[in-house]
Amino acid sequence: MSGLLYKDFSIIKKQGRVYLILIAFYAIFGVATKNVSMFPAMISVFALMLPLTTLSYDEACKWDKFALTMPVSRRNIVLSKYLLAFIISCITLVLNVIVGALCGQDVREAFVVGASSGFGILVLASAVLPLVFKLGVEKGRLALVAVVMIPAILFIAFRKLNLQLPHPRPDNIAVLLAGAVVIGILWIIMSIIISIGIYQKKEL
Amino acid sequence: MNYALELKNVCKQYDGFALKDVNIALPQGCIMGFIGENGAGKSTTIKLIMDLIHRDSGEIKVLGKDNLTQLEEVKEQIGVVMDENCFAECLCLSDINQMLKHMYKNWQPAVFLDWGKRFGLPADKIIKDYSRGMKMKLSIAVALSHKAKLLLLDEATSGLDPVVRDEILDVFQEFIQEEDHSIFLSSHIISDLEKICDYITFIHKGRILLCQEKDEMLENYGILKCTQQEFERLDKGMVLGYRKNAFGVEALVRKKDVKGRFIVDHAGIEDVMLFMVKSEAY
Repeated sequence: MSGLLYKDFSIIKKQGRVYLILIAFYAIFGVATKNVSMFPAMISVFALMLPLTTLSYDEACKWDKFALTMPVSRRNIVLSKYLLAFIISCITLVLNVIVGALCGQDVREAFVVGASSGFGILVLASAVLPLVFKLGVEKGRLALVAVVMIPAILFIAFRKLNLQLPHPRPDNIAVLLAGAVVIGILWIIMSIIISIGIYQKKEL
Repeated sequence: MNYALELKNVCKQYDGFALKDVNIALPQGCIMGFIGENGAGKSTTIKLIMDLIHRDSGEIKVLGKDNLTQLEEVKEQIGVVMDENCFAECLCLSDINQMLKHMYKNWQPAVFLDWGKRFGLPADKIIKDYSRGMKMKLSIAVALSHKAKLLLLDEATSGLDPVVRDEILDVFQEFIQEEDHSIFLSSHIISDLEKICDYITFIHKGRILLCQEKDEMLENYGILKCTQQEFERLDKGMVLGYRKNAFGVEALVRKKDVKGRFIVDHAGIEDVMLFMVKSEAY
């Protein structure tokens, strides 16, 4: 497993320079303009792209077929991608806090923003990964776009139709938050189980 | 006898292609050549062995372990070389060394770098810049650097020039010096196999036509040359295949069954293969 992650980070290190430059750019831009909302949004997009980038490299060189001849189980190949997404979302959390703090944002607030976007990354990745394991990276990318677009479209539709989303009252916001976290975690676990099921049957 | 590799009645059905009742037994300490034309099922067989594709029926044992339930136990001891490079092209030799250190318990970094040097693999280039031969050598270096006992090689020598091929065959000979080391080597370059193999398995259209000791095979079979009339009178039980030409008939026969005064030439592996596939077989 550590070998798989090592390989993914080697690829990111070599091929992710563009991302690093862009991340640095948005960080500097955010700090300079004291704009705290753009950086978390941009970095979340990158964070979602990175696991897919490693998967497209794997696919291009038919890595999986070789990886499975090594002491690596199918289960671990799947788990390593989720773990990669988890590590990346942890990194985005740290970056968000740093950039937020540099922007003069309250650290606790920056932490909440970072944690929720990190969690969001994991939830979205969990929607995409089973599709990628099933359909391949190219179609998986389309799925990613769909996964990101659907909530956005719904949101716009709500506004256009003048439907008011009920505002959470301050006293039940904690319950809602906890509920969202529980549902999110269940979603991620379900995604992992489905991905492993798909990958076990896959013919390479 | 201990078998490094044992396949019993293995079947795999695809649309338009099927592996049927594949039986292969590779005794420990031997090199088996796995020959057959393109699309005969060589790669499919190797993938079935590693359970990269799932078999429909039959039984496969690798180093004595069932390949569906216990393969993970022996994967440490298997080195596989695929017919293409499977490492991300942006990595270099030291990246791969580091990565595999985390993969194999028995990974030997120094041995790997040694092979790299011996094979002339540049340490600073990324794999993208490697030639085809270098990529193949890299895969072989990987297979040789974690104390594997069984090598599964899928077309490891094809696409290489004769000098490099010869070099690599020497490496395999070296590897096999250890008693418990075995090699299963698929190829369509028959001269290579003739040079190093103890056993020959011949696959054609998804079926095993022959799985035999090489020397026995070379000894048993011969090419009988005769006229058309003589051929008609021959006992067809000994004829495995024949082809007609302007001068008469050439037939692949079992030498010991030949009675009468005929010219029986030596039959090489290539002759056996060609006669069995291309001629009108009995």
